[in-house]
Amino acid sequence: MDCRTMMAPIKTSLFADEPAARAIDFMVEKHMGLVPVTERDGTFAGLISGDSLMGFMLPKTISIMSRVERAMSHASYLDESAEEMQERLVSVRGKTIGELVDRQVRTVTPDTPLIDALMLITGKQYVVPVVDEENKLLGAISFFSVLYGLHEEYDRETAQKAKQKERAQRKLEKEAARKKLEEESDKESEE
Amino acid sequence: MTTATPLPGDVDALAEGIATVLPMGATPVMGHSVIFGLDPLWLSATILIATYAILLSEKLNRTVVVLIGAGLVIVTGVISQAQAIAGIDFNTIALLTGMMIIVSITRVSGVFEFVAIWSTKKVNADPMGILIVLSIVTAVFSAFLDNLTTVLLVVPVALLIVEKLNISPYPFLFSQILAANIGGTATLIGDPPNILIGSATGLTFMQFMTNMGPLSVIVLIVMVPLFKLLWAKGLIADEKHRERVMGFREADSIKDVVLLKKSLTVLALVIAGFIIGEQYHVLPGTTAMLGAAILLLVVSWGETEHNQAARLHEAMQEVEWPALFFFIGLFVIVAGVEHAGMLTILGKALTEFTGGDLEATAYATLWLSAVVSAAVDNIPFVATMIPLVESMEPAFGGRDIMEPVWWSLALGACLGGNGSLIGAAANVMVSGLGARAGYPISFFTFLKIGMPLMLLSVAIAHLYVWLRYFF
Repeated sequence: MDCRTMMAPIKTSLFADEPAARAIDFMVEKHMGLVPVTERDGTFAGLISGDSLMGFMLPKTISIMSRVERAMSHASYLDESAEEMQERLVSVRGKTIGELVDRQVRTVTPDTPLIDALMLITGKQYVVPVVDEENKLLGAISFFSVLYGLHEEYDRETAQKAKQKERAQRKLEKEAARKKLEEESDKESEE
Repeated sequence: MTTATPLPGDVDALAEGIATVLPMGATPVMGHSVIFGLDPLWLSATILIATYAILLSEKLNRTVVVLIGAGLVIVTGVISQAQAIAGIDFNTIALLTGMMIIVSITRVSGVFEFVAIWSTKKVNADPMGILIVLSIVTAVFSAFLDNLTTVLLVVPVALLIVEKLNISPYPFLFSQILAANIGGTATLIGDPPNILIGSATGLTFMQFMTNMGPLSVIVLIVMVPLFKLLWAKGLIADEKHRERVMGFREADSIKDVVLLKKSLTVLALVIAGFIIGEQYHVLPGTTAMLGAAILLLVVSWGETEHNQAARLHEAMQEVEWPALFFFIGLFVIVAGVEHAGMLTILGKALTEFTGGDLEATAYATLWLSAVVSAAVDNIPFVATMIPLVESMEPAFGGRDIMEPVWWSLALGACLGGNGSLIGAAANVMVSGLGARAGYPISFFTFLKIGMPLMLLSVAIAHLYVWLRYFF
């Protein structure tokens, strides 16, 4: 099975040159934590995530130093007001989406074996963009698209099996009716 | 072995003294042959110089480079494996390992952040005041812990404070580097050159404290007005931003009070052990490793076997093994040149250069080590200088008389680290942290500030050595 089978189309695109405010509003409205972003020509630019947005919402030093080994394991001593967080939100909204996207994202093509995409998802890249050979975004594979695809497949198979069962049942019934008729006609002829 | 003390200035007698007293003369004493019948003296010197050159290029990992150099010293037959192992200073390795384990456990308690924030609030979040108190905090921590851990814990807090104050972080980054190296100068365990010198010479923790400590304090005191002169103008924060820093809750930085008490107690006992142990011939390496083992025991007391193993594993993971193997490789390379007699020749040359005058030798060692340490990693330099200075001791009349030279070597190597951005490991660490936070430090920008301040501090050290030992 390849990625084409389980790929979900991208219905709404976010463009890298748009204001970050649009991405934030979009993610809040749609309850989406991870959205693919493209350039205007459809080339895949990266993923914008709730994680990275939260990183920008932290004080810059904490956001960076928490990723430095052994440098900053906590900052419990920092008691921030809503005003301070609001200031940073305003600053983040003023950036472009391109400034916030994670560009170090692994992509797959429609022909990539599905198992490779599943391994990426298991490795914590929850959305795997599917691109063509020109890096144009075609769709994405995620936990949901895989389950949805499998569900559809299951439904299709179940429906098929039910039909087959029904057909077999009908055949049996017909056979039984035919046998009954034959028996009755045999009885009548004997009489 | 006794040697008549030559008269000052009697260079030939001194040189002769070196040649006759040392067990390893210019002609190496070895139980096996050198590959292809090569001259061990030149072979070992070539390996040492090639290793230095590759280290200087910074193209390859330094630990890998010295381990290859060490391997070559053995396989080419300059020294045997047994001689190489005998050349490794396990006291230094144990001291470094033990302190790394103790600090890795202690830092989890949040004590470093607590002290940094507490002192910041004591100066009412005034930017210049913060710069000074954080410099003092870093200097004091650096004196008793390793410099890298100190800057790794204090610099992020300093950057966060700077972010909240909305002021330039550069003065803080620069002052942290300078303070770490100045503070590290003060004690036997403060900076790797001191650990190496202390271990090789047997100079005690208290001797370091009393000889190096005062100079370290003097240099720091001199630096404060200079810091003000350099940076006070640009360090202005408005009341609103200062209030945000004053809102920091330092008590909340303590994550584990029990761990804090246990680790600080063990740390205090280890430092006491450094001082007391000397009287009973217990070397600092033993004290530090025993302290580390005791701390591991008390922090995992009552826990399941699995948790105890997990805690040990965690502590061991924080030990900087590449740094330890760097030291091991260096010891072997230096043992090679030492056995081959190269350092005896250099020692003789240095004695001739200074005219056999102890005072001149001390000053030459001070300035040489400062300048070299500014340009290259001071650890391999000091590791090489130690046997060289040792080779001069008998000619000058023994270790006690040579003490000013040892202090000069330590002062030059530690303070010299401030001369450039690559002068010491702490410099590289702070510069890396700054770059990651979006504040890159250029080599020349640091040089413009670091070099004059380093030269000034070494000049102060020169004056100190003169007043203390030769006046």
